[in-house]
Amino acid sequence: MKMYKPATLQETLSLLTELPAKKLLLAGGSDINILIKQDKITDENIIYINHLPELHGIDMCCTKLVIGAATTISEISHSGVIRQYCPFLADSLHDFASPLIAGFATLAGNIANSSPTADTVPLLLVLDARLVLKSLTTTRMLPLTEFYTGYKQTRLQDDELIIAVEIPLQYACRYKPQYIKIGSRTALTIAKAALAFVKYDNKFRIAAGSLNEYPRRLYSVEEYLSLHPDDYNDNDLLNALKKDITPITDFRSDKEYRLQVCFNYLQKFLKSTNSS
Amino acid sequence: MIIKFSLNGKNTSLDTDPMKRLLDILRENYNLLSVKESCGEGECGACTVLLNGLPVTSCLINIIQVDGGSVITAEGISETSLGKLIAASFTETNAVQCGFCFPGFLVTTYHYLQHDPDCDENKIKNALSGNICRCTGYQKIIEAVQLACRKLADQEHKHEDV
Amino acid sequence: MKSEPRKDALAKITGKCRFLDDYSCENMLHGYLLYATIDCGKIVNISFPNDYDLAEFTIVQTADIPGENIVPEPVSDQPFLADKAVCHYGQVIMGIAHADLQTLKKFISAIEVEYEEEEAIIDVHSCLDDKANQSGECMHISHTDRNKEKTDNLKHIEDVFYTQHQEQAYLEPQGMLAEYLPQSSTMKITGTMQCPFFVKSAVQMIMGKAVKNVIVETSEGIGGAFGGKEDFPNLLAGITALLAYKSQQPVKIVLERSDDILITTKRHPSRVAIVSYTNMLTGKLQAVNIDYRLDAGAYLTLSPVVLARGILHAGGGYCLPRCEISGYMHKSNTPPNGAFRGFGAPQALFAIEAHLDNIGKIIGKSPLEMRLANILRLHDTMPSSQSMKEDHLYECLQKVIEISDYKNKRLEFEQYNQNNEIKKGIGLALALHGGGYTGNGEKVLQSKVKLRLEKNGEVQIFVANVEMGQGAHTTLAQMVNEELDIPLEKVNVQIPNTSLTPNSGPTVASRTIYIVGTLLQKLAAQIKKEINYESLEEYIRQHQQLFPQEFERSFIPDPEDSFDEKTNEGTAYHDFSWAACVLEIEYDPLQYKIKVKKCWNVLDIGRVINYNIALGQVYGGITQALGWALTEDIYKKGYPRSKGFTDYTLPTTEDMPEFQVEFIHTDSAIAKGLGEIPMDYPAPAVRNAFLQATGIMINDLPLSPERIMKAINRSTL
Repeated sequence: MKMYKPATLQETLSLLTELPAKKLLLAGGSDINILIKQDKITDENIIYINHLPELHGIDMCCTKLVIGAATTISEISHSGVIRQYCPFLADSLHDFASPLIAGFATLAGNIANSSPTADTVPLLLVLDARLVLKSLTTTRMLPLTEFYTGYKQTRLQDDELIIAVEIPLQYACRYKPQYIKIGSRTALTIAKAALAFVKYDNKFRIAAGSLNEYPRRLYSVEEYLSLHPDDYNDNDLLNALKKDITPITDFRSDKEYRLQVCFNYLQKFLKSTNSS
Repeated sequence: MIIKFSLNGKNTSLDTDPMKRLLDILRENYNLLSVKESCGEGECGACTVLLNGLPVTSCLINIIQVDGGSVITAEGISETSLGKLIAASFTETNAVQCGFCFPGFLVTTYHYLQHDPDCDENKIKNALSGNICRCTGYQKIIEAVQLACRKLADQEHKHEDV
Repeated sequence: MKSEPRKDALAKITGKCRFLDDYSCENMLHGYLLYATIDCGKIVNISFPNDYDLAEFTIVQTADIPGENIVPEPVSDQPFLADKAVCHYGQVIMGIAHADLQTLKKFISAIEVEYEEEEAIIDVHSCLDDKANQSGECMHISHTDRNKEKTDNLKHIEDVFYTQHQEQAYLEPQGMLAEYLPQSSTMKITGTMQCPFFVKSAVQMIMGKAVKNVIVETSEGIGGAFGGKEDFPNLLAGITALLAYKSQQPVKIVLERSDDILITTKRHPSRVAIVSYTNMLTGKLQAVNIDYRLDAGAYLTLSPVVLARGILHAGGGYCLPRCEISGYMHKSNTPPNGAFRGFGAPQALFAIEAHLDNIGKIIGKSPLEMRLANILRLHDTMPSSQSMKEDHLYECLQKVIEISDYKNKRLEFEQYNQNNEIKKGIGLALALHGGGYTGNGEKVLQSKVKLRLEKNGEVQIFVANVEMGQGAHTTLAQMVNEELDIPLEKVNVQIPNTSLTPNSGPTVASRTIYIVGTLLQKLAAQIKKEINYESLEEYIRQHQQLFPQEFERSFIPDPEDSFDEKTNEGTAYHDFSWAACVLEIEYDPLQYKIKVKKCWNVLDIGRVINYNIALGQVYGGITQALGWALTEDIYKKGYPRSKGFTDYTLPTTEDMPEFQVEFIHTDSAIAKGLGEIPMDYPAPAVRNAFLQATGIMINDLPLSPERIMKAINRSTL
């Protein structure tokens, strides 16, 4: 393990270009330290980025919220701006890990760690979030829906850094998204299944966590519901859901349970939007 | 790497592997033994300290993250008047059993009372939900925090009278 | 009822109290364990990494043992170190020490052990369903009441109940420090333990004649134990001592959490099959046959003792005119299961309490009617033929029904559940728990306690019983200060040390206050009577030449008590504690999840010495029981086992119900056992509440959402 603490963002991006593969970015550290403990990190280069001011802060720019990559979960859930413009995000992050971790775990860390159970990702997916990725030579926007490509696989290039997450306010403000995280207990829990849901103009954005190799949108369900917003039937809905998710059985839960609770909440969310 | 930070109100610096856990640095380099290792993965809160004013599990913090910041441990908190008030409340309700998790509870409670000294049981439960205790069933800990809230309110009331 | 503040509170809150990992000494090495990572098989080869200088490490294997490679236990069948055969994952193969902990751990993880794997039994069903896995002696109780009624119209009902492993999950991992003093041929052990004299025997066993004196002392603080620090410390101390002997340097081992979960003892999984014949009109159980099986793990160790307590509690708080109870131990390939708060009783009571509700459901009697028809009353006999000398269990039941408004709630919930998605349920459970060792155990133990009256008027208590969080050292001091009539701050319990404290027995079996405390109380009364003082402080001041003076007293069993260990007949326990519980849940059918809302408890633990400490034991015991009932599990067939607090999910603040606790007969002369009984009844109470909420009988623990979903799906087929 070799440690780098670049003085500026520019220097960080240069390091990302220069250093060979096997490098890790350290901001909050809540995931990296677990990996170190499990001997899963040995000879990586570690670049510390938490001190870079460009990666911090929450801003409202016209029609979108811009959240710095290294903003912590508790900064987001306590932020006045977020509470005002996107209370859904603030409220949903309430169950993130524990109060002792939310204070230093970062938003982009949760995204980039690429865990299938990442708590923030289903929320951001229904909010249509985009990532701002920067390298020494380019800055590009990538919709979060396109970020993951497989288990622990992303489209982030070797020389790129997530510098911010942007949330357009059209979903966050105008509609009422819903979210459920199902774990074995209330606090300190890793999701067995998570579902985020929003209905707008008879269209739907629905995303699930812990049900695939990475958190993802449920496109088949969305498509089916957009054709049958008021006359969906349970069987077809379930079949659509089965196309979208590949739940597994592991120590924490069973695939049958994961599918069923996801379906139960999908029905519940649908009913609540139809009745309101 | 040279790391400079404020520890229990005093400035300090040390030359160390920047990836060392804050927990180990506090125990080994500063002999601050109130900081306990229990689960080692951020799931129990026995190693809780205040980092830049926020309660964090020091087993998941690398010392590089502390550079330029401030750390307060249970040792530091027990010297403050609020810390003493909390300790007295924990003692009064018999909140403590084996005590291994307790310095962590002291730190988290201190932060809670500093920012939002509300007697509401659910708020307290939520604030303490990252600290695991296997002995007490939490009931008397929650009662102690409520007691401390009331004592604090009384004190402020008295100040206003003066 | 007094509520003196704990003597150790402030030191623990502020972090000044020293736990084992806070100890260090000059030239100290760090020790650690290399353990097996297969469930069953043979060690074919061990290769050490080439890039380390082996001379830097102290390594102990079976060949280094000067004494016997057997951990002393009721059944001494477990080796300290594995030789060729490996019987369970986590079985220790060698102890290794080095000055630097990081280097040591890296070295150990680089050691390669080659195995020849054999088929293993891991899951509870494969272990307990198959009689071929039976090991050791079985135990029986056969009881026929002379006054039994003869009835026809009997309903025959059979149930099989299963419970899973449970990890004690004390917050402080196990640790041991060994210092070898060659000049005096002394091995000094300091550690986290409940039973210093057991640890002493273990170190004597492994060291044999190589060491003349073994001194065992507990660390100042012991961060929780719950039975988990009863037997495993024997093994850990043995290996640490061996490392200190070989290296001639002090050695400290502190387990990491993952290793502590993987290699130490757990609560025994159980399978309890009950066949009963019940009078359909009255709900009275006429005949009951109970087959009680425990998964002992890879070695029997102390399982027979757990088994004995299990079968003696298997009839629950009920009068069973005819009963046959059989107890069996089965072997598997998990670490040996050991002591855990409740010690066989929670498994037994889960089964009988659930069975009673199942019968009621089938024959149309309410849970309360079932209990009233069968509850043990004054002069009734228990399966061991022991006669009831008090009617306190019945009083507990009456009181808990009253304070919880049980009858109205039950009706109210039935109505509520017809119109609401969330279902409510209320459950009832009774418990009894025998205080102290089973049968003749206390007679054999002959506990001894010592008091020293110092020149300065202070009184020191010398007992082998440890302060592991339960508040014993405050409560014991109270029992002495009240009797001697001196201020509490003048009385202190010394840290247990086998060279200074008499053997007052292990800190187990809810016996510390009940047996040891009572003994101290009697000794204090005897001192007061003998010296005949007005004020002890004044007397000591005037007779300085007589002090310090020591006084001792040994346990004298009641001559009326007799117990036949072959037939399990007689006085199984001189005193029982009693409890009744009503528990309210909400069941969320979307998540298949139970949330415990309220828990009412009425207990008879005799005299309550320290009300707040007693309450703390009840709250804590219930919480552990709720974890066992709902979320805690270690093994799942075919998947990597849980090895940290991420997946071994303990209750947090947000999982807590509202508690109400009342003690009855608190002015009794005797303080009975308290530590374990709160562990005994919450699990069946939750299960029975779920039965009311949904009408579904689940006979297995934990009541996880996954298990509930399967049961619901089965029931709607």
